[in-house]
Amino acid sequence: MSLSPRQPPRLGLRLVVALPAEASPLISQLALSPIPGEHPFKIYRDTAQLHWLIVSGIGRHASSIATAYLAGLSRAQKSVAWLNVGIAGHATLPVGEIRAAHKITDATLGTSYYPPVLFDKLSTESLMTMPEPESAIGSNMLVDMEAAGFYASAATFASPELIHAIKVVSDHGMQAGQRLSKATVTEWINQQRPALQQAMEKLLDLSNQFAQRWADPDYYDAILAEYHFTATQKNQLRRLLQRWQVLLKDDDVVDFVWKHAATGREVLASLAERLDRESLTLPEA
Amino acid sequence: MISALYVEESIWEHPRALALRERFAKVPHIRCERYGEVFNRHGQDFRVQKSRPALILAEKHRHHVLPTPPGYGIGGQANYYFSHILNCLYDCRYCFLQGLYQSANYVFFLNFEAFQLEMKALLDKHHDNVYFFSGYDGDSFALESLTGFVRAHLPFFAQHPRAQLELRTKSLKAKDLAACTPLPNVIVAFTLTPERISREWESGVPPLAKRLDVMQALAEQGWPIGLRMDPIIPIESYQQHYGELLDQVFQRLEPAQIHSATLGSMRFPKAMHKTMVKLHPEEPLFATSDPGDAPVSWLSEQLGRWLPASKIFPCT
Ligand code: SF4
Repeated sequence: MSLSPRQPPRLGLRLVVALPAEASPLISQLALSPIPGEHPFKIYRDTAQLHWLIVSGIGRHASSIATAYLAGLSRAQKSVAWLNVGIAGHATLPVGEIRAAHKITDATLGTSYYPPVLFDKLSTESLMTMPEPESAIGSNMLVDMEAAGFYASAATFASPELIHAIKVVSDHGMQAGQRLSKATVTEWINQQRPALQQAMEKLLDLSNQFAQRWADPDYYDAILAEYHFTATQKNQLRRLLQRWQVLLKDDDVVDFVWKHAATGREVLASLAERLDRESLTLPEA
Repeated sequence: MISALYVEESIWEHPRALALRERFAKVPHIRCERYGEVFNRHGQDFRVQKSRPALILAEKHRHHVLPTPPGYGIGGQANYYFSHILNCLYDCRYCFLQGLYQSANYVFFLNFEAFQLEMKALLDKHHDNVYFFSGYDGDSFALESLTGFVRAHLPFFAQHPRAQLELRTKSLKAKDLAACTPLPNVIVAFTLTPERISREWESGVPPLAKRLDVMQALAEQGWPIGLRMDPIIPIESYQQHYGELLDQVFQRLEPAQIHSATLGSMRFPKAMHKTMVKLHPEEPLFATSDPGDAPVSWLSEQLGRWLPASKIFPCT
């Protein structure tokens, strides 16, 4: 029987948007389809089930709940990247301009989050998440109603390096009850598809780096399937197999284990004993 | 070099902040209340940030100068360290900072003057020499063109001969000292590893030969020189590589020009080691077992060929 070293990590994006009009360009860009079944939100994913998008509805609370719902439903690992895309007001920036958020402040709680400056081709701006639409935007920052809720929720599932919000400027202040036409919103997002594409690719690259680094070492699952290990011993096994990959890459670890160990405890002892005989050498010049 | 500039609200208009905002005009300038909001956030990734660090300008409110951990010293009784900057330009794979901090962003404490006030108070408290170690949380010179900290502090040490300053570095910027009158109480301490080891595990660090040139020039000018071989990288053939390193050093320097030599093994507290392994699971440095104290003992003995025991400070 030939054993597979490990499953390659499955990477993807999790997108959270407030409105169907913001979602539709992304749905076609990533070739997403609605998922079957009853859900409290509209949810889409691609056929490989890598990229997922949820339409949260308006407000930080809705965004927060939708983010958590999507994380659970899509079994999002820590290395998955999260992106909130939508429209936002700004006092002076021209309508249709795109910005990544470098600081997201929750106006209700007074809390701030700092997504790192990651996208070379996107200018960045501070973003304030308000509980109500703003009729007059005074300060020089983006204003929305979701990003802070999204961010706080996503931060419980993913590395903060992988959580970002990107906004397209839609207005310079909105009166209560004033509405933007769906077609206009869709058009603004559509026009920014190249910039969004680049940002998503960058996030996937980063996500990939994390996934590779955090992946289980080769043959971890194969050895777990044959021996019993406690939770602590599983961690020890993971590290020993990592060390094997580094120090003895070409040697067959599975063969070694079969030959030297009858129990989980013996697996650990024999691996440790073998690895401790290796010393640190300089790679060939 | 810098991806963003974070500035604490209270020092937004500080002259040093203004100068740095002007210098880094093209990157986003982001206001924060306290630097910890950005620097200490949970779950950040040191390795990812290291490739695009941001600069955080902050004000240090207390604990500017702290007692060193036990065993850290070069012969004095009163030993303190201070960090005007957190994190480092270089990326040594064994650097303990990656296990200590959540973030690889640089934090620069602008309020220089407060450091000197605390040093002065400590000098008043002790009757003998007081040792102040810089370069504990980052290289003393690598970011000097950004901070100007050393330049600003030399006059204080010129006025206070009882204050002994150690500047610890792998940077060629130390050569800037050549423009100043040597101070007998300012020790320029070079952290040295053999060239092959440096190329393998000290990303961004200038070539050894160039650093030895700087060391020699400063020694000839009269600056007291420190040799720091801490940590010793325990490769299989360490005797050969470190033996050659000592030969290179003592071909250029007279033993009398050396103030002190410290040696240390590559060991980390368990939790710190775990964090470092998580950042670099593929790193051979962390995959081999601890060789014990043999490298430190061996190197200490070798150094004894040139230096009296009173100048050698092994730390095992
Ligand atoms: S020079 Fe020192 S502080 Fe800087 S990365 Fe290397 S070990 Fe760390």
